[in-house]
Amino acid sequence: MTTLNLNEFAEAQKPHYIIKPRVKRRKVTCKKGVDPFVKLLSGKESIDMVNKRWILYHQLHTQFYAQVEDIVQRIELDLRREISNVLGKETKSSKTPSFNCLFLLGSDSTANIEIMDEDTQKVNVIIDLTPKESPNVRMMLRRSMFRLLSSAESSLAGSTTVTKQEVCDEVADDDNELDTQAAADLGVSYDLSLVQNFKKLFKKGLKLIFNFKDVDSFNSQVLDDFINLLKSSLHYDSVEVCLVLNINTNLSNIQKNLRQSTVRLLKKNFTVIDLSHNKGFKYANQTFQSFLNTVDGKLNLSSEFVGFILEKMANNATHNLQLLTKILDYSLMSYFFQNPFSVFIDPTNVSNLDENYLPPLVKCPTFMNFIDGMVRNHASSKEIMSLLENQDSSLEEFFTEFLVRDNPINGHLKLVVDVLENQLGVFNYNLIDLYYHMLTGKLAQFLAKWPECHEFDDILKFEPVDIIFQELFTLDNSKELFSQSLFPYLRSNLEDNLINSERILPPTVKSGSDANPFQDDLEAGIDLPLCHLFSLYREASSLINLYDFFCAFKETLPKGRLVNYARSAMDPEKNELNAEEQAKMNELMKNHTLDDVVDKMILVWFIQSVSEFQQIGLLKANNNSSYEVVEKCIWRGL
Amino acid sequence: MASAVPSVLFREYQGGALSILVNENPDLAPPNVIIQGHQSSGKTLTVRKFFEENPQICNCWLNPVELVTWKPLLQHVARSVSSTLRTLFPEINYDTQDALEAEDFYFLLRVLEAVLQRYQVLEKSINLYVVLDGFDQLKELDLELLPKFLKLHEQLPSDFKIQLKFIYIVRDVAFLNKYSTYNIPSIIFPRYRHEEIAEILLRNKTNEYVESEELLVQVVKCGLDPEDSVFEQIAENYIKMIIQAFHSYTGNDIVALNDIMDSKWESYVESITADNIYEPLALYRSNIELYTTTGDTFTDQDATGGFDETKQGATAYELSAISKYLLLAAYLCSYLEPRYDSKIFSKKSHLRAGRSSYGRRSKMETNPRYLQPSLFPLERLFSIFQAIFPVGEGAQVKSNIFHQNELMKANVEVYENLAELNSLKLIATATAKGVDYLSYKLKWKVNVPWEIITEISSSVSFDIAEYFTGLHN
Repeated sequence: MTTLNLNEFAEAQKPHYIIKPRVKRRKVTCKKGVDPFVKLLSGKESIDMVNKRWILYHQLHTQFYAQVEDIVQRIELDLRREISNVLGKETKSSKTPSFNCLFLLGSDSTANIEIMDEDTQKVNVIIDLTPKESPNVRMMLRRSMFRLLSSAESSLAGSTTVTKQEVCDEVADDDNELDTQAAADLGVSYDLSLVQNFKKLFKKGLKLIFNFKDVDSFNSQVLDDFINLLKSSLHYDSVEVCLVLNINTNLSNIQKNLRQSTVRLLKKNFTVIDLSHNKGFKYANQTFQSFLNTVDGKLNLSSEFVGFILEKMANNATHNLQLLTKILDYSLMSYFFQNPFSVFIDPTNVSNLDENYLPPLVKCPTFMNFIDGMVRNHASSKEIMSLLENQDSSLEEFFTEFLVRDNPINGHLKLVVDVLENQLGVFNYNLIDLYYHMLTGKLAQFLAKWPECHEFDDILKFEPVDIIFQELFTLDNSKELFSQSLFPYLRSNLEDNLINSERILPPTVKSGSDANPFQDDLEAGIDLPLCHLFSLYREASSLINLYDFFCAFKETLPKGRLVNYARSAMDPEKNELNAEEQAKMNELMKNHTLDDVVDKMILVWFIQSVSEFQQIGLLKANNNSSYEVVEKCIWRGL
Repeated sequence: MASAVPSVLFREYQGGALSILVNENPDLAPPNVIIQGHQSSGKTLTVRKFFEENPQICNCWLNPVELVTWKPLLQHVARSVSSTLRTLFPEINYDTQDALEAEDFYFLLRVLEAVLQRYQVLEKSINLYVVLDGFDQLKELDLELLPKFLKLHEQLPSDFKIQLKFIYIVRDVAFLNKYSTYNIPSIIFPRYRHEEIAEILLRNKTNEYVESEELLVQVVKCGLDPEDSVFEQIAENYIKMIIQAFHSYTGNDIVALNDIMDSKWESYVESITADNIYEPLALYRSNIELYTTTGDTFTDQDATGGFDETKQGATAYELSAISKYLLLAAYLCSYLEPRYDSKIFSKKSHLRAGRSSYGRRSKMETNPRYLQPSLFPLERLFSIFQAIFPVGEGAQVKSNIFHQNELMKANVEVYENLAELNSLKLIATATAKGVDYLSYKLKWKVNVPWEIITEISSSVSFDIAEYFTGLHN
């Protein structure tokens, strides 16, 4: 007998599945020859240098990440301290009893709430309420009181076991008896009487913290009623009530849904903490500074790159810090991946500079400028030629000389920051923006926001300088690499790939021998059926008649090639089928000409492609009754 | 013996009526008394005062609003009756009756009977008053509940030494009118009048303010040592001013006025200086903004500070430019008809020209903004977004010189911003549960009113109002 498994049934009815692939940690080895990096300089780079490049990158990367982790942890610590400070405040001191209200702005409701000062006279109970658990006041009250009771009992049980060890058993027993006696007397029910009688039941004061999660999704009427209901608990002695509201949107949005009297009630004692990391520039500045420190004296950042960071951070309001880290990390990786000179960031490696490195050196724009200058200044041609042709390794020496030269920008940045923070007391500035203005030589324009800077004009003055060979040591968003790989176009990439399958498929390898006629023929001969269909799809109007579509599809395929292919495939001498398969194929082919076979093949491809289009959401069946027409679901060029 | 009359300002009649209707002697008092009056009309205060003045009358007090439904209400009636009696007569001992058993009126009767039975040993029969304060505030109130309570005394034996009597404090007149045929003695508390409010507040609050610490500290800070009468005058003026300024807003609601007064007192005190302390008019002028807004918002503090830098900075806590344009596009999608799209947004003139592109030119009956937002597919949102997003903004275009006018395409950032807008509930999906966000079947709508969208559009200097001109009559 088969029974219907409910879970399986539910699984089968799902319209979509969520697959979470386990992230495989890439094993990072620093063994020679197995690094993820490849040989550069048209393959002439020595394997030793590749390895050194990889190790150097790895060092910088871990160094940067250690600092970022530190910063992130600090954020959390700061936050937790701030929250518990607010909640630990003494509320009874104010003359009118009021809730201790804490609004957490930009909260994803996962903020950890803990109370530092656990004293013996008071029990702290945190009650989490989610919108799902709070359909009405009755449920909210029952749930929260149930939680209050269970957590109070558990914390009390914990404390009595402690006392039991210290004091003799009798006393503890006595204590328990008293409790149960009192409890029976007062009765315990899941309503506010529990809060009212808490002191009598547990012999301790109570600090009750309601943590309303995702307040935006609460029924505001219910929330309002619940808060009003709690109002009477303010008058009970030795009971404090804290309300923590996790707000996603903004305060005015919450406020407009509450009654004015409730707003007034909450406003008596309320604190707002903005949880979003990007409030202000503090943490982003720290992260950027730590990146600069990591690569200090070694790498420069191009102004386009810094501008790119600024622009992308402006586009993403919520996960700024993660984005910044991602961009910096990616830029570092791509720099080490594609620049053979990156290895010389560690100047000790300069001993390995050989003639393979010289041709790109000569082509450096800054170097060419320098030569230009020499020519203009009528330097001796011998000097110039010796530099260009590396006679007596003069070019190498020249390169090494500039290798150790420092870009003054980081030093000056520190000076400006020092002036801003220590002299003027300005903390609300964007370090990345400041850096950008310094790179583009518009520092004065940036500082104009703080007029008091004028006093320091003479020391703050800064002109960016060009250092020869600096482009070899600059992080740059050249050829839009970062915009392409960090912020890809979703739809246009898909469309372009469907038009040009070469973009994603490996190029066909022309094997000399005619060993495998199947694959060779097909791959070289025609594009994927999907791509064929898509190029037709692009031309079609929004409603597509399936038969017309099929006819057009058939026309576009190179029929001659297909016939040839089919013929060779069926040739028993050429293919590699075993006898059984051959027999099956012959059975299939019995009453058909070669043309019929190809037609069938095309039909199969067509049906397959159309259903694939439906799967990936390019086509939709118009409605249930008509099967002749399909409709396009996407618009081009978005 | 007649009960003492409580002294509550402007509630002399009601106090007198209470003292007539409520008595410790069961023979002299009706079993039920109803007290009706609007919010903050002194009902609870008067009754509390009454019981304070008459300690010989036993009573217990319940707030139905805290109990939410009728079942806990019944249980609490049973519990508070038994615990009140126990504290009154500790010498009478008996095993506890579990009040939680009173899950229904029948069980309530049983519990009450069992409890009251024990007190037959008493010599004198007395009343026990159960006050249900805010009876109609019970969340899940049904019409059967009050009659059941009203008839409760008929079910209990009348020879019990302890007689239960009920006082119902009710706000809603309409609720009471349903029971007018029961002929229950009722005391009506009318609303306070304007002058009465002024007098009550003056009497209650003046002392509190005169003695408030803030005032003392401020005066000491100013280096003054005025007489008591000056303090009094300051406090009185303040109270009068607040009442005059906000009476039209609060109505005769003493509690609201009280709250507003308390919340503004500190800033009022702060404005006291040596110059204006003796001149009420100058004092009034120096903090006139106190009287112009009620101040019951959470946000006004933020609005004043810290907006100067963050506006144009890259990392300000606000919507990004992409989000703003997405929201604008979503608004246009929801409130403009799709057939006008080609006319409005197309940059090709042949698509724009003439009626052929969008059919007959009949104007709409109503402004589309007054209607519900209509649903739209994601494709339309992205294409309108592409059409309205300014070309050549930022550094993006600088680098690719060859595609000078490349349009904004939906890259990962756009999707990220859309997801953010969705989680902020500014853009909503048609169905809320189990949503497959990228499915073509999913329809979207904007969830933002006109006021907010104009604010957003003006922040990016995009004239959205222009798109809605000439569409309707």
